[in-house]
Amino acid sequence: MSNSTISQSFSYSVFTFVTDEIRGSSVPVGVVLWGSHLEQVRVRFAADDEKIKGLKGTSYMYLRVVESQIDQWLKSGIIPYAESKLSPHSDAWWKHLSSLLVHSVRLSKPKAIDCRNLDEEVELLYEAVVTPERGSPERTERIDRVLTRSLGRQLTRKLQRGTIPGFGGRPVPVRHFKTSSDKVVVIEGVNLAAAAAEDDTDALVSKLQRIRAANGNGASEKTLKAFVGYLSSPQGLNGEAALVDWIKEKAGAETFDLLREHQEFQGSIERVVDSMEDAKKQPPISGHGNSALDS
Amino acid sequence: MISEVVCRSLFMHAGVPVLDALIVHSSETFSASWNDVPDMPFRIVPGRYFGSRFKEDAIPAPTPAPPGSIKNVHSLQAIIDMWVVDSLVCNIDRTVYGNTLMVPQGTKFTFIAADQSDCFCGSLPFSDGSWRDSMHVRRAADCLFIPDAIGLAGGVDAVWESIEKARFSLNQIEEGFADVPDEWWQASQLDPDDIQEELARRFEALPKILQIQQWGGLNHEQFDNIPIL
Repeated sequence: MSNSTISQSFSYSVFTFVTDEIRGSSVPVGVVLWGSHLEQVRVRFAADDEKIKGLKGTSYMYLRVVESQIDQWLKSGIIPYAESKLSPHSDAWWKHLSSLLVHSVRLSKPKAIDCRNLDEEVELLYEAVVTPERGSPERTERIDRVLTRSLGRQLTRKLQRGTIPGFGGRPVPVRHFKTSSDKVVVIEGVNLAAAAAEDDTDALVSKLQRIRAANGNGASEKTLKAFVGYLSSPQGLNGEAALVDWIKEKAGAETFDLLREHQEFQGSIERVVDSMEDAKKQPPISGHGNSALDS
Repeated sequence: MISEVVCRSLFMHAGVPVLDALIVHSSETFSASWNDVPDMPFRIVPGRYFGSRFKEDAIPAPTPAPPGSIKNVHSLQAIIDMWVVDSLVCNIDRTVYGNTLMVPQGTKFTFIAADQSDCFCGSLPFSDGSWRDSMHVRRAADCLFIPDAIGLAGGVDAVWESIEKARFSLNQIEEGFADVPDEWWQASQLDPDDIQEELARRFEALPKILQIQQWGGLNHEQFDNIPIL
């Protein structure tokens, strides 16, 4: 089962494109992730429309050739020059392939990695290793999709989308939020495996800080709870740990890995949201002033 | 190695792209250093070898050719040329991975005949003397994009054009023989005259070997200006 919630040991290798043979410089252009126990393989090469820094347009022709050749070998189960029958789910198969790929596209030796969901994590591994340049709408769309899935339909329905007043009264757009007379919950997401992880993290922290700064300005302060769900590469290959700590420290947010901790993420938000709804049903004990966050 | 040198020359004279090649000398010192490294895939003995220059921008052609990939072929005629010369020299492994390389040319690929070590029905028959008998009965070679390339390039006329190139190439075979070091001829006990005689005989039989009549004349132009419904 590839959608296991339990972490299992897999192997991965990185495809690189040699940009200068003499200087030995190369650019990562793809990854392959496989597990012998699950008999599964996921190959992910840069697509023609994915911009990779340092990779020329003509290089994509090579990637398509190698990709189709590997696909054929995987389908046929036969790889040339192998001394014995090898399984494509074994390290030996990929080691052998790396000895065949001696031209422009090369393959690194296999490395071990812990994964839970092969389909999701091959993408994150690809993002972290290859770092394709993605536009803001594409990045937003990806994290929105995963965030909504992690929250679940029922919980998503209880939340609002839109803006919350921030520092100086300037509205701050957030992915999901919920307000009550004494609380405000903000739910955000960020892809820490992506090339733009640092910029996106800084933007997210700034956003949450602006909301915090506005909380209680000229009115009573509400309890502000911020939850941040993030995507990270297997084993934090993109240096995600520091960014997660930064979000916790500077934005005062609780953070959850959306692939590995999605149940905890959903449960934590659900508890706060339910307590807000329960409080609404109770008659008020004492009145509250208007906060900027009530608007 | 004689097969590499002689056949590389034949391909080159037929206009088929080949790799740059050199006769290289492995000295006692170099051989010893090489053999001392445990990671080296094989051992070498001092002497002269055939070597082709690593081509940075080349990549092995996928084998078999993926469906529809003929649209990436820069010159269909060059593919047919390679097939005809392969058939002439009885190359047995053109479609093995790594033996046909390709380099981009614009948005398409040009193909390179990269390995000629298994011509004359393979290295074993060539060394044990059975190659002459084998060449009498050997069918046409396997080649990537054949027969599609023939169909798309115009059929029988395209094959005849390649046969003419093979004829020209065969007339230059002395150049290939001259490139072979004398010590190799001596060690192999092969006679260049035998090779020339066998290739000439094979050339005469080439139209039959290639079953040239089966391709017919494909006049695609007859469909020009006819609307496709």
